[in-house]
Amino acid sequence: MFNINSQLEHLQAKYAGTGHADQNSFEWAVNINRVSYASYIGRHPMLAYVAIAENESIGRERYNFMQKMLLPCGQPPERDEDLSYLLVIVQHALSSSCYALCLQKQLVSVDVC
Amino acid sequence: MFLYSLTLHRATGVVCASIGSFVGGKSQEIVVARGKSLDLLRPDESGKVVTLHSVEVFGAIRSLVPFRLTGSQKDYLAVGSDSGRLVILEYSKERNCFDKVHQETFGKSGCRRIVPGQFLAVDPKGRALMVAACEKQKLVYVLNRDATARLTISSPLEAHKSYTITYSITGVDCGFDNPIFAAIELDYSEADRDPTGQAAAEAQKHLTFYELDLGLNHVSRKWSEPIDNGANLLVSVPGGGDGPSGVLVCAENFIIYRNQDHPEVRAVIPRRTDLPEERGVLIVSAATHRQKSMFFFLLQTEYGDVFKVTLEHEGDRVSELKIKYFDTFPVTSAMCVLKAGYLFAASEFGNHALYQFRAIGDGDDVESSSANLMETEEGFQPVFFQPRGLRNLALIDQIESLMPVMDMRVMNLFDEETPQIFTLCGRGPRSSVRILRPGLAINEMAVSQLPGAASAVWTVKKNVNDEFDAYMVVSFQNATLVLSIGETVEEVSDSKFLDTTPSLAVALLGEDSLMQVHPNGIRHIREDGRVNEWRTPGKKTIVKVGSNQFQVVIALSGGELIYFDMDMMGQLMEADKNEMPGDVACLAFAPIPEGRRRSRFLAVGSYDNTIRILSLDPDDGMQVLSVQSVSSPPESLLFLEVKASTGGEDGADHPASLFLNAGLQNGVLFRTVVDMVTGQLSDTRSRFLGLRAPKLFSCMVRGRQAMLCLSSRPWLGYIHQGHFLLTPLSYETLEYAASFSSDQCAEGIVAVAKDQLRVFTIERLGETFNETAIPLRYTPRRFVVLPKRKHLAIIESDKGAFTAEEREALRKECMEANGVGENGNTGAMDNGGEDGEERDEPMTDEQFGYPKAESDKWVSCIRILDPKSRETTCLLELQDNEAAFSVCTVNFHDKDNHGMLLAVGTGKGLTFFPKRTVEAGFIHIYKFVDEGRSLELLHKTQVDDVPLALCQFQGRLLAGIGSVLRLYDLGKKKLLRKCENKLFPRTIVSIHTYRDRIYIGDIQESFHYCKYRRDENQLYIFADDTVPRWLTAAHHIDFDTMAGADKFGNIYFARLPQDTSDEIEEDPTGGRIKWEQGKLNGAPNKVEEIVQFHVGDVVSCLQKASLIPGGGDSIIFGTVMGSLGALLAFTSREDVDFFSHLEMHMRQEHPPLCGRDHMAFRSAFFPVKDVIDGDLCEQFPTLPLDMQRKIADELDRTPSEILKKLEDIRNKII
Repeated sequence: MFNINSQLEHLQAKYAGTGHADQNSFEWAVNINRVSYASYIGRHPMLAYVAIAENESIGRERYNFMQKMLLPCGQPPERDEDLSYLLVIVQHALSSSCYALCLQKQLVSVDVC
Repeated sequence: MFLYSLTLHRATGVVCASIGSFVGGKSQEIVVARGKSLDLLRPDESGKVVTLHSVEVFGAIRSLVPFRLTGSQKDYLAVGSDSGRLVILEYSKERNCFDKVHQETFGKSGCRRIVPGQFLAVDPKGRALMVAACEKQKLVYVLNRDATARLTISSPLEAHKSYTITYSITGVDCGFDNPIFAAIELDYSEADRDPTGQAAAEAQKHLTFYELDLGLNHVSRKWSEPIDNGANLLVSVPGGGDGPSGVLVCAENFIIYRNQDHPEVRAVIPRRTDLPEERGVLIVSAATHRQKSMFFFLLQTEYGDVFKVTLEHEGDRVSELKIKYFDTFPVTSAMCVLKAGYLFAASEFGNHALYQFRAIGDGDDVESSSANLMETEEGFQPVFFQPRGLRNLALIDQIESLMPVMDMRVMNLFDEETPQIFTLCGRGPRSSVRILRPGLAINEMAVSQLPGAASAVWTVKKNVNDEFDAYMVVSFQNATLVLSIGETVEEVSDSKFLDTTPSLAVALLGEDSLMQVHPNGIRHIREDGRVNEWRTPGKKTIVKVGSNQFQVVIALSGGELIYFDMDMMGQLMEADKNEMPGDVACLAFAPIPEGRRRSRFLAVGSYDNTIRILSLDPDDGMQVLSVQSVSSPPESLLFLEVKASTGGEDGADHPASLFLNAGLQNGVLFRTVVDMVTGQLSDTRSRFLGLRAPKLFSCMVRGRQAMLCLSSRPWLGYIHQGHFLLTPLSYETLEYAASFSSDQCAEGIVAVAKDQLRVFTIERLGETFNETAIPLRYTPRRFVVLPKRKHLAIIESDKGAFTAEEREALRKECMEANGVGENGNTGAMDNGGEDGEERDEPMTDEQFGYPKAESDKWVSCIRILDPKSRETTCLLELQDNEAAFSVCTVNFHDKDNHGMLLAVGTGKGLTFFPKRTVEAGFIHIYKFVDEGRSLELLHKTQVDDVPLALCQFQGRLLAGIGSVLRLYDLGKKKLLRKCENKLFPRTIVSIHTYRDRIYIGDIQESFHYCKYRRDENQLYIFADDTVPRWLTAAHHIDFDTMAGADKFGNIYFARLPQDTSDEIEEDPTGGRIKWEQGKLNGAPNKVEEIVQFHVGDVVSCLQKASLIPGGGDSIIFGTVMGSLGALLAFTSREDVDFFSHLEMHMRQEHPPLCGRDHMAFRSAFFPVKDVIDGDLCEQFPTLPLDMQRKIADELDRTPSEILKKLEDIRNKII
């Protein structure tokens, strides 16, 4: 029987990173970060850019980004708890002038339904 | 505003490279992906790397793998890119291009997490191919051939595993058993759910073997075993009969041999002794060499050390894994070992290199082996080694690479005809300032002094069949000098040339006789020594001469033309006469058509601004066939014949055609097509070359006829990869030139300039720029030009490195530790090379890199460089862990006694992890002393963050310190705060000023337009952008417009709407009242983005400049991958229409090679707006002729008109 829910579930299983109604902000942030890291790994000029900022080899930067895909936003929150935790989104900001890689911590307060 | 984008200098960095036999046969080629372009390289016999083919693909190439079907002689190339497609290419030798054999779509485009393309692996027998994404997806394609031996590809078989990150994949060599692919995988599903962090800590990487069952057409996970958690790279080990099969797993600090049903064999990667303890050693690139009897691996670490890895095995049991230090060279992104005994090293940054093997590191003194692996309680015992100079490799060629361009300025500091481009390139010890000049590099072979100012020079052979020239004849005001060419060039007197008169022409006539034309006659010197002299009638003198092998035409004063023809006996006979209306300015014969003896056309240029084509048919009697009027009297004429070509080594198809080139007295080169039958002229093009009338000479370049034009600078017109290119030579003004061919130099040019005779060759054809490099110490960050002295002030900084003194101390320590060997080495450096086996080359930082320090240590220096003498006049190393990030010159308005000062923004103890922190920021103010050659610190002012942007503004200094914009004035002991604005969102990275406006670039939030009100001493933001932009470069275009580039590779222009701008300027409060209201959490006015373009590469610098004298400005940009590009604003609507239609047709008829849709690529982040892609338009000549005609018809033009348009617009830029 046609079931829109099962179809959605199928989509979510097929396309990692697809959001759903019950998604919490942690999951969202994890997805965003994994997508970002994959994009950095795929775009060589970007890897080179970070490598210059950190004075590391491009190969090392690629490896670091892959390692970070495991736990991009730190440990997941406790389940079924009132979640008014602070979420840390790690963003890579690179300044044009100095190639100083600025890791900025942006604090976002979240309510989870 | 519409812009035309053109890449001036293709990217030179390398993303990945692979070796294969793409042309077919025995030769091996290297295929190199440079991000957006794909190049095919091959080392020639002399070890120079030659580019066979280069193509722009309009997409990001991420992986390349060559494969060969069994029994085939030729390799195919599989390309993984961001197109969501797998593309298989085949190189066509005939047409010199890559052909797309297959294009299989499997997913969305873009570099996505689960869309394959990041990794490619192929079964060593060429039966199957795996393409994988960073996460989850892996697809396997079965490769086969059909009845007509063409490559076929199956539909994809899935080998997906959800919640799994893939680190590397490779094809396992298992002979002709079912193909197996190995992958390093990490499952994160548990870690995502476990809040205690235990699962994440225990997450384990696995080595998984996927087997493709060819019978069932099904992929299964055959074997999966935990492996070292530092694993990052897999290298396939030869199998079948050649080796034990299986894989080498490269992990942080270890190399491990793994195979099914085989215990792991592990060895430690040796460490440099000076490496800090917390740092691991990672393998970043690998190459395999296999011969019939043996195989070995070359693995390079992230520090540049290359290790040779060998396996001791019996059958398929591996007993020992040995790691031996091989050599050290700069870190590569790919290495290729060629059968001819070369190693191609594609550097991550800076020049690439080709090495030749002198040895293969035989010998038993291995640094590390699985046999002596020591495990203690703290883990495995590390093994140390000391790097040394190259012992097994010898450098034979370098391929220059600008990667990364850190900063750039277009300027004419040397007062040359065209501006130079000053770029800061490279990283760490390999960084440099490179001065680029548009034009070809020349190699000067000899310069010799002549007795007086020479007016002309010729070279002649003694016999038509000779390979080399015999005489060089130099004409002076009243004499002629004859030199013989042999081992040396020396004066001779037995040549029978008349040396008491100037010469007008010297040439070889017929088979073996020589001709000298002087003002009073023609001297014909026969091979047996007889001399025939023809004298001019009456008092007339010869003014101009034209000749070829059998025909001579002279013009007498007054305009009389006399035409001579050589008869069967080798006698020069007067054949015809013609009277021209006035004096003749120049003469030229058309080339002799194949199979004929005589040229059919003579071109005559007259002072009445015309060029006439005369027929030389005996029946026509020098009848005028066509007349072309030109803008100024012609000075010189030359016919250039383009032979019919059907591709081959040199590109596109084109029919034979004949061009008449004329150098006009107003400095214009005029080119027109000559109909080979009727002599009619059509399709004219002209180009301004310089201030002097161009003189045209024929010469040979790569065995083809080319044209040398001598105006106020020399130019070369030649055909390269199917295009006719007219490029300046980077050389001084020349008077007269001739081709030169001798033993030492096959395709040279001899020229006279004043009283000097110069012999040179032309190098690196096809390149737009030639470069001179001046080495620097650390990664250059920025520079400013000191306009008065024409010096550069450069700031250089490196993270994680020791200061110069510490490095020196370390080196001494290391020398002492090594004792005699190293000392003896330095002592014997001068007479080195005699017993080269034992002696190592001296260790240079360029080769080895700086020793790594803790990551929070910085080194930095400020340098004053005189680019002309290439001399560093001042070098200040910053102390106390400070690093310079910004620099500007500033004139404080009321402190005139100091004059121009240099402001440098520095940060102390900057760290990025785990959080960006800085101990303090400083602004140093330096005074110029010693006539601007040196710096003296006036004072330094502490600030609370790193000043990333500095700029002079109304006699004060504006500084962007973190998110604060502050205005400083100069005080006695420090800078004095005058005014500040703290309302910027993140970090200010660029400041530009114009009148009272200040244009601020934010690291993450694009541009903010500010105003400074002097009377109220207030800085306020009146406009900002609506789009978050991670700025990497910014440039001020006009009062309302800024050009910017973001880190995702987009260039955009932001413009304040005209009415808003007017409103603000007219408002007495300057929009301040409104500013206080604000809009959308920002400024009240918003800028519009009027231009959007995805470059596909991180743009690091932008500048508005003109590269040609008298040309309009274009935006020049440099990128991290080492490319330079330009954006030119169109001046007419008509051109916009034409090029946008051409672009549209090109998109339809010629989709990019790697499967990415062109429009989608240029709109990767923002829809492309008002920019026409010149790189795509310039692929028009590479289309087949019928396609060209089809597109031309659609545009209501002819293909040659389109080519002319393309040429014209390129000439406007460069």
